[in-house]
Amino acid sequence: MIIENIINSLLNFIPEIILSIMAMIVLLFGIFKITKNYIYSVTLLSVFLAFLVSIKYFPQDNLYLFSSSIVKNELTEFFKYICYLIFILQIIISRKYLEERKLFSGEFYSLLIFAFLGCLIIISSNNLIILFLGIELSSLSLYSLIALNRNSIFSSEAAIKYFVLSIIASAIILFGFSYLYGITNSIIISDIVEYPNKFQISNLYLFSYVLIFIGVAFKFAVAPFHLWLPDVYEGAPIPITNFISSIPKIAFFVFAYRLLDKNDIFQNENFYNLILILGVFSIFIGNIFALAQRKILRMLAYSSIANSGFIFIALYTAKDFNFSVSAFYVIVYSFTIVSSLSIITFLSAKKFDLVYINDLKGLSSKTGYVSVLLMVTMLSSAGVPLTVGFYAKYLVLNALISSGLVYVAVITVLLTVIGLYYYLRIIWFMFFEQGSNSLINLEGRVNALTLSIVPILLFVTFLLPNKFFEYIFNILA
Amino acid sequence: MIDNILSMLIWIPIISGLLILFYNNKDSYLNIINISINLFVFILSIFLLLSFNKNISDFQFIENFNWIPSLNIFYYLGVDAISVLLIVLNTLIFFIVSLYNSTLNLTKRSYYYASFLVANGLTIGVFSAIDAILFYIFFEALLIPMFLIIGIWGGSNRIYATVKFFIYTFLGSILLLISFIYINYKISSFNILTIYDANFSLKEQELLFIAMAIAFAIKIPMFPFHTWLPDAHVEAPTSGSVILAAILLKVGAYGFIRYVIPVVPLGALSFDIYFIILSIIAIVYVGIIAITQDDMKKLIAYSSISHMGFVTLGFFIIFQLFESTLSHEDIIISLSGSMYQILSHGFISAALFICVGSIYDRYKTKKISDLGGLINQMPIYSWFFVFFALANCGLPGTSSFVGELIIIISSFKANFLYAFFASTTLIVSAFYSLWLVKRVIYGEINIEGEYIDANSLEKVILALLAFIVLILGIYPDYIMIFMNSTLENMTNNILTKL
Amino acid sequence: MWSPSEIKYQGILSFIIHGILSPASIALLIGYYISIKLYKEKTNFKFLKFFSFKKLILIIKSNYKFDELFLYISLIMKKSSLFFSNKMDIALIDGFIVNGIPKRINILSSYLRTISSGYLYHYAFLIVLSLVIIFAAILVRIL
Repeated sequence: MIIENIINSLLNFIPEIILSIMAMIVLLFGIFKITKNYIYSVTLLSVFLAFLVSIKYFPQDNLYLFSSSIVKNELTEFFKYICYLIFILQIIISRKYLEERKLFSGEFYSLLIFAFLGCLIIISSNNLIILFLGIELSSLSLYSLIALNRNSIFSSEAAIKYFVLSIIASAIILFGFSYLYGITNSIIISDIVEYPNKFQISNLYLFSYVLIFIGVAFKFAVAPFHLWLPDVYEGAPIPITNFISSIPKIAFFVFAYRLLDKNDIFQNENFYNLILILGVFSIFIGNIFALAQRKILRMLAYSSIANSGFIFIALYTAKDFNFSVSAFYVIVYSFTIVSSLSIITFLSAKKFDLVYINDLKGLSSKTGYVSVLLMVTMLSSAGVPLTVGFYAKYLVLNALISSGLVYVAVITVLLTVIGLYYYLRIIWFMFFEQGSNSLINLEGRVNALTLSIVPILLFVTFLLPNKFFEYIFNILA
Repeated sequence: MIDNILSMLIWIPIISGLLILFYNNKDSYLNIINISINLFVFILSIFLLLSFNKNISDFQFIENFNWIPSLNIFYYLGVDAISVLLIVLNTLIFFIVSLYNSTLNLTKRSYYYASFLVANGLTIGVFSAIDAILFYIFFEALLIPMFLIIGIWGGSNRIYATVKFFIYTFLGSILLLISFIYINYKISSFNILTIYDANFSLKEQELLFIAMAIAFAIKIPMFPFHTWLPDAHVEAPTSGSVILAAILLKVGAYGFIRYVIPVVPLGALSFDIYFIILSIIAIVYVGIIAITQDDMKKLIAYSSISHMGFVTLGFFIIFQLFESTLSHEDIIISLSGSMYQILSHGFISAALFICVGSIYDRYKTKKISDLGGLINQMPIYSWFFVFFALANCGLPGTSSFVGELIIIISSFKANFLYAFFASTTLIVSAFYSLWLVKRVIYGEINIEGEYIDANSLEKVILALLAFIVLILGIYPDYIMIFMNSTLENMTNNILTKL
Repeated sequence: MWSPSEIKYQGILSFIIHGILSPASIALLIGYYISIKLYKEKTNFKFLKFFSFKKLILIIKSNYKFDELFLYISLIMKKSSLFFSNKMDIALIDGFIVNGIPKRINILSSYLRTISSGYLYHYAFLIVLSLVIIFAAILVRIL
């Protein structure tokens, strides 16, 4: 019986197992000169294989593996698929960039796969310890990935900052976990979540949840725990920035969902107000700080802080409705930021990083195609119609107003108008300003085509969003 | 075909615009293709006008498709008399602009045409959407082509102007979005017909009114939200200015008559005095500002604001009008006067901007102080310029006289003071129009330039516009009767909710 | 109720009474008679000497001072136009509100930017500080 269980669990855990084995094989490949050329293809293939296998083992029902430590259901698989898609996209786009900077090595891809694996584990873990292992797996890999570019002082600085501050956050989360275990006598999350339904919420339970969500706020880079983000965005190699900006956020969203769904703590006034205040404050900080930035990555970092604020507000509205609004926002936001960072990766050439917004001047006269893609992405971030970003903002506002917080809606909207300015600035630098930067990279047809996937998706989903909405509303209901 | 005529009107220009993006810039057929698409859309809209049954006050040519059921958003189109007239105005102006564009010497010609075609389709969408969110989407999306038109092909200070335009309008429209969401939250429908039937409490109506009225007041624009318009006009290319003045300002006016006054009449009632005062300030104050502008486009922009003041005056006067005369007929007349002013201003401002654009193409200046004595060099062109300047100041026989007269008479019935201040425009607008003519057309020859009178295409365009202005001025009855039943229905709607 | 259709102007007599014998026609006839006497036959009416027309003639010759009035009014209009345009529209509305608020926000933004100093201990301090504030707030509310 037990063996059967273990075998069954292992079978359903094959995608993750494939990834971990392949990560080690890729690491091995990097040692030998002959096989070095295949690293990229092997990485891509293994991720693709894992993706296909996870589609093959799609669970029909809630599936608890390894004595309820891991849960697999429609929701987790959906978010995993999105992670896979984004990850494959990032690997394809970043190849040229990495080759030109001599970062193209076995350990890079191996660490990348481990970071990705960590995020997948966070998504499907139902056990505090496994969860923490997932968090640490992805974080540790990311520390070293950020520092991998040894020639750049920015890179090392970013790695140290991320390391120290992230450790604080992990410690806070762990602290919260330990209290939870003490109170509920269990490390299985589904038991912990049901605890307040059976017993009264003690202050200690609230305290541990606040601790955990401060940790989550740190990982989401919600103000005032956002300080690491701009430096990391600026310092890390752009493909890593791309990774940090999207996949961990999806993972931590599922983490937040798992801890809050059907949990009475969410009706606690202190707790939900904390989430709301952090959200609004984050939108304020993100938008105000982004205005004064001259570096495009720092600007995007602050814009993502503002967006994380929106995610928190969306989480807040889940107390009355469900998590579909926030899930939708997280997904749309991840795709949007992946698109913009991929375009920046594409435009960076050998010995030239696209750092300053000024470098975008007159881009449309050199490549109208890429500038249109970046414009669509920026409009989507700003929430202007004709892109799916509009629905994301719309749903958050709708949920806020339905919760009776019209004034909060008005404040966030006014702050968004401030945000519009810096998105427009990128558009006008590309289209209206004169001047051409001769260093900008325009080569690589395959990459250019790959870039267009997400913007086209943003536009098409705007026109025909219904299936998408129904699916998300359905799995999160 | 007649079932889907509205969808065709919206999507034919948008899709052909997107296709034209990929067209070779230097191809000589590009002009012809662009003109024929616009002509086709125009003919289609004439077909719509002719097959529209003006005796029915309901929406016609309805297309209803459950677009996003999970968000309760419908692809719901339909037109009443107001929308039909505005759609015809829109397609006609875009057709004229496409004719005018073919005379220009442009960079990135196909992108330019594409932006205009997309703007054409989106504007038709604005005028024909019955679902509020659909309206909002078209309304907001319309900003993007205009943003690009001003930003890419505009003058030296274009970035400031276009960003100001975009952010200002976005600020307003996002308040509009919040109001729509609130309405949906209350009555769980975005359908304008259901919204008309809904009853909101007084406080809700007041707040909704403020939010929506600011959105449309920025778009029209009303004083004190008007400062984006002169900048945008000055920096926009000529065809962009034409669209901005003739079409985009009308979107704001349309919003007032479709989404503000019938939806929240009680809110409008409690704030109407402020809006009347703002309209009168717009008429007088902005008219006076227009006098000393040295840039011709800026002068016409200010005169546009002043003329749109009449439109808002005609809209907001109706409550006091009803209080003093208790007659439905007067309200209908006042509203139709405003609508008439909208149409008439569309043609006159378009013509004036085309005139200024032609001067700019020849002499590369829009400054009045640089010009003078044009009648010696371009007599035919000058004739048209003088004609439209006179039409702009409301000369009897031209279309703007009809609208202004109706609104002044209506305001007389409401309150003598309003009429008094509104009619000072006759002096002020005559002042700036005639002084403009005096300095530009007559007087000393100030500028050395080639002697090129209006070419045949310009003659056709200007003559066409002059003809329309005269026809509208001499025989206003057709349009008045055309709008009558729709406005009557709207008036009844408003009055039953008071 | 009175309505125009009820009064009938029919017949020659009615035409004479209402048409030819109306005050306007009589005034016209009298004026015509006087002007013939005055200018064609050059008759001197003695009673006219009692009046002096000099001032009237001056006023008429100067077009009722209409040009001066026009110049004066147009001067006022131009002055107020310049005032409104420069002081109200450009300075107050545009400068103070429309461009002023973004400018203030920009200044605030560039000032706040210095908070993110790049020093790790600043960051750690800020994080700990916000932690303390959050817990203090929640503790105050609970207890």
